[in-house]
Amino acid sequence: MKRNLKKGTAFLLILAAILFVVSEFINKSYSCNQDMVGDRSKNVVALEKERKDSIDMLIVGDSETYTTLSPMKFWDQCGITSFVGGQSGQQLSEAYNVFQKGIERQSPKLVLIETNMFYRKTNKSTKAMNAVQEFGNKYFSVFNHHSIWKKLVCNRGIKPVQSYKGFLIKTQVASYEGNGYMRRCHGDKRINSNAKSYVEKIVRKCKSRGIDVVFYSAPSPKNYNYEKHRALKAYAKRLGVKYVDLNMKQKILKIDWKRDTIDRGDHLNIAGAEKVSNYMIKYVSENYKLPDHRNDPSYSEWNKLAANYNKEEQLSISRIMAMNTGRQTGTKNGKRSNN
Amino acid sequence: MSYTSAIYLAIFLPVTLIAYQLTPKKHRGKILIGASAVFFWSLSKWLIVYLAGAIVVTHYTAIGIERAREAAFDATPDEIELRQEKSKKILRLGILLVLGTLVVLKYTNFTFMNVTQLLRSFGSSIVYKPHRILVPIGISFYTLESIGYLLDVHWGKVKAIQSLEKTALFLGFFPKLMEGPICQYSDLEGTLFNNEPLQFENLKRGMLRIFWGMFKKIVIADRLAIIVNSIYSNYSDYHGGMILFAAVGYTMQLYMEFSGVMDIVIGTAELFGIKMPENFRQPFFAKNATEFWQRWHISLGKWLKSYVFYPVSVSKTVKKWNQFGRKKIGKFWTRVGTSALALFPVWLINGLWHGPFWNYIFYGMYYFTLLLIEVSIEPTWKKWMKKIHVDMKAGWYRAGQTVKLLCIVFTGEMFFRAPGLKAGFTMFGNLFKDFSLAPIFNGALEHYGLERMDLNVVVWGIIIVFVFDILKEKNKLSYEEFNKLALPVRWSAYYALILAVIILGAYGEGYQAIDLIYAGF
Repeated sequence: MKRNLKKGTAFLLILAAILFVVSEFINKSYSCNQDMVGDRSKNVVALEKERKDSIDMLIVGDSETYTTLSPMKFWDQCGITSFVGGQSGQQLSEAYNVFQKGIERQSPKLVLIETNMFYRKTNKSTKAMNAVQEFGNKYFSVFNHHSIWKKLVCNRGIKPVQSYKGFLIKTQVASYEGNGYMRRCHGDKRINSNAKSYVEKIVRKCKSRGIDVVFYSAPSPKNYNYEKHRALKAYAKRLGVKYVDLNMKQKILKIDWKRDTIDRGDHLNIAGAEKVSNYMIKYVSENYKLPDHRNDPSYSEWNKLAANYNKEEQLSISRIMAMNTGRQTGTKNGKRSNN
Repeated sequence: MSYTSAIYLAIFLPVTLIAYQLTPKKHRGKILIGASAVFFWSLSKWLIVYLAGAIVVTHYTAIGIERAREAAFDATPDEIELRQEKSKKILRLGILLVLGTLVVLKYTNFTFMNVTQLLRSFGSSIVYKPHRILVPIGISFYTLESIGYLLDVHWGKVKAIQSLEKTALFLGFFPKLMEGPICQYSDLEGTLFNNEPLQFENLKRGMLRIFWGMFKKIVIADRLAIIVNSIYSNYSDYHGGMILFAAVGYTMQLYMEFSGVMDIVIGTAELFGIKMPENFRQPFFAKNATEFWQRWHISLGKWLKSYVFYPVSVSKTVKKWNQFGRKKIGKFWTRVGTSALALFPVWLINGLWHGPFWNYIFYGMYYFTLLLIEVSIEPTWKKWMKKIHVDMKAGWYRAGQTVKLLCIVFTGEMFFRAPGLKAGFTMFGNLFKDFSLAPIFNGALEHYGLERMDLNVVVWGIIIVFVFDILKEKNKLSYEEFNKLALPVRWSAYYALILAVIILGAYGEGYQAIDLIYAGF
């Protein structure tokens, strides 16, 4: 019996060692070439690589984050260093993980949490499953990034994507034809209780560290309605957190749903993101005193990146405008493009 | 929580094993029941009451049947008959309750929809709006197990279980809850209630089997599912080679998934020292459709044979037919008629058991027809072959049999997977339109959600599984032989398998978790 116990332990230890070595190999591979990381994990890995204590504002949430708030605009207009740690379909457990990683190496003064993931369906077993997966991913990155083998074996899979501190420039246009999606009503859309536990963990941790938290809802007819607005507003009030629902600021933002969305009202393109970013820059600078680093030489790389961003943004917006004009005049350019 | 989820493998199973080992022997069954309840609850929540109900009904019906039968032994012939009638009545009531639950939950909408449709064709204006009926996981599996057990008790083949705990474990043992195998009581009674302590040998053997199953499921089947689902959901857009690819791909997906999950199930039971019956035995090496069903989903075939085919074969109707046939229509047609009478209910139930859809009923009837043809012409065929000196064991003849079998299986699975019977016929028709294999080989498959590297993994994975199947078929592969190899070789094989599952598995980013196919039946 004892012999078998020893054998079993030895087997498991060797297995753990193998997994550790493979995980280290994977970590090294993508530290050499960040494009090797899967699209969904790119922002998380990039956040880990940011210079220590260089980020003042952290944004977490699902794809609504990296299609609405542009850190380069925050930088350009008021020198705030921010990073979008958003992931497509991010679960709150993942958001918590990103937040944890963010505060391990950074000292953000403000955390923006996009609220769409508060309504992502998870049951208890999904919660437990996420916890198991997170544990595995934390200590053995082979579980999270195992598909890297395809990129190592065959370089064809590597598609470099330009990310501006987590923000992605989207230029597609697919109009949202509906209207009045935030029509007033009395009901509340209940927030997932599993999601709440993670939100409250983040809020508690932020409060204990003196970090301000803001909930924000990105403009999205597909994901929001008045029932959610009511529930989120009440929830934020209960937690003592400020809440900005951009779906209720349609008149100020002037989102053109025929032109500013990439997928019929789910996400915004760069033209829509510019409007949202401008509004949030004003909101943040009026309500929070975040430092302006523009004249700090140690942040010179931000200036370079912002210059590239501005060029690409202008080009993309003018392309969208042209596409829109084409559609209105019925020319070939008006062809819809889907994401 | 399914058998391939991280929570099952990393939390549920280790916790159950530890709890089982730490519990005194006489209470270990309770740990397995508790684990089964947790497992069931994680999938079907409060619908667990249906399983609990089936357990209670099965338990007390079996005891009632046995008491009625036992009393009959020392009674007068009249009393014996009376008691047997009583036993039959109790049996019927028990079956009515467990089978009735299955029928109501699974077939109500199907029945009412078809009846109203029929009435509408006669001018009625009745409209039936289907209701959302929640069906507990595994109901089709444990219902058959319950019926089989009650019949066995009634026939005196097995003794009724006297402990409710044991009946609960027999029907609700968690490894077989989702996809079977459909166990007969005699399959499990030897090991299920022994409550033996964990053995290192069982753990090794079980874990190896679990990882082999994981390899088939998440490395091969889950990749194939992406491309197969993509083609089947837009089936009318495809023809020729792509339809063939979809049919072959789905058959491979189903085989890799179902047999893979069976490996996980049997491996899990082995961890606790419990032996479960095999559900697959290299099905593609069968000579014909009849043999195929002796190798594919064996437990369903065995159940249908024991509880439908045999009782029908010895029923009064068949006996009367035999008497009539021999006198009036000759030996050949009598045999055909007898086979038809016994096979028809088998294949109708087989089709219906898979679900309330016409394509499943068609699938059952498809095999009914094929098997009837095989049974009817087999003796004559053999005579002809002998007459023209064809060696039926020759390689070329066996190859021909395999090609014929594959055509039969692929066609059957095409209808089985199709989203409806009409869709099945559309696909079958499209198969012969503009037939070309070019889309399979010119890289077009890469547009269906799988990269070339994924396709390579699928192809190589299937080759590896079939090499192992060949070795098993030739009795050249056994765990005992593997266990005789030097420790470094064995451990290297274990690590290679585990790493293959972890690295090549179609899980996490870029992949979606694929539900178990048979868990939906």
